[in-house]
Amino acid sequence: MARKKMAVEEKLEDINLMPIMNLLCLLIPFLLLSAQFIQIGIVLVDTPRQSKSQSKPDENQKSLGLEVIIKQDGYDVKTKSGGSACPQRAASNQVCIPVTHAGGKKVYNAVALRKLLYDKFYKPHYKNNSLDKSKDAPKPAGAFSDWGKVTIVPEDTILYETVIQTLDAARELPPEAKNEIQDIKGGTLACVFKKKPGDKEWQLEGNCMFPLVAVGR
Amino acid sequence: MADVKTDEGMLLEEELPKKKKGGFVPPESAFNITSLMDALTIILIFLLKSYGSDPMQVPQKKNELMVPQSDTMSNMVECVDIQISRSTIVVKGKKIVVVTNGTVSSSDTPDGFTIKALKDTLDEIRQKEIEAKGASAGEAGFQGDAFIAADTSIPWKLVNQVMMTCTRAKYIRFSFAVVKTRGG
Repeated sequence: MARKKMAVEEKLEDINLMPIMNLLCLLIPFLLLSAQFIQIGIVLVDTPRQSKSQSKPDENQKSLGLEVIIKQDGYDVKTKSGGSACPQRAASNQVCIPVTHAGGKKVYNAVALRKLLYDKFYKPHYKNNSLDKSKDAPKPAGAFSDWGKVTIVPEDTILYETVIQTLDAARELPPEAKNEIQDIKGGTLACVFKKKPGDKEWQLEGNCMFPLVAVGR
Repeated sequence: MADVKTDEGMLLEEELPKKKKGGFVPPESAFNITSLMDALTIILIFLLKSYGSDPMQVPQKKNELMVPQSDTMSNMVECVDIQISRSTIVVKGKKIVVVTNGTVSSSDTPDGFTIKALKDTLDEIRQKEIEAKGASAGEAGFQGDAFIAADTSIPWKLVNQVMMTCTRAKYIRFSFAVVKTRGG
């Protein structure tokens, strides 16, 4: 009996892993070459031409008409209704947020721009305005018909990188909003656009400042 | 002289295989590749996951195409992709226009705004897209989304020219490619 058992054990052999190893050794270099180790995201923008063709605003409602102009010497912020956001600087022909120089390079102060947009336009008005697009929702007095929209007008020579920084500054809320804004959804300050496959429209999620950006004149 | 053996020497002698007639036979050692297989399988799964997660690829090439960084947490969806590098404008992997010092030649832009070769290519892609969706969907089924990946050092004028050309080819919504600085 014991002899029979031993005979069976002798027949068992290890699985030959060499073909699988060969396959793995081929697959891994191929995947390493084609893999992307950085995460690519998107920044959604519109063109001013298209935003004009959208639904006509209610005549009783006022519009903000927020505009950020990226000039060679800095950011200029104005509204269609109220003129410059920095009237004193505008009077002396200066931009709202001037550029600084670091290491021989021009630096646009996107943090200061975010703070200015938040302090001057978002914080005083967010209670009366909502990004909720439902037409049936009652609109309180003081609500803007174009809430959430901003037009960014870069000069021709402005670098693409600066435009992206400006888009970020307009879209995302500054860190202090976490303590100052009461209805922060989900506890994070991220503003996310989501689109399911097959859907035509993007959906906004999270907490945004001015996410509906139109770029150009 | 008496043969004195230390404790160590005795142990060594015990462990060594006994010599047989006809020379030394090395101990049988099976090469264990199980742990190596485990490691390779984990690497393979990780790479396969990162390979299939994004609908489009944006190759990052130094001094050619480096997309800017952003705080965004929005993910891309599949649509027509336009890459504006320091030397070319590429649509869906096909080189369309040559870029020199951040501009295209005036012969490529007859009216100063529309890049002719780009418009022709986009019109062609749009037509194919509409045909693929079938006659029932027609123009209404066309989404008109364009994905632009431009180098950080490209001047806004060129990006604006590309956007204007897209608008004229009925691609009216744009998403700019960026490198995410925070996860999501």
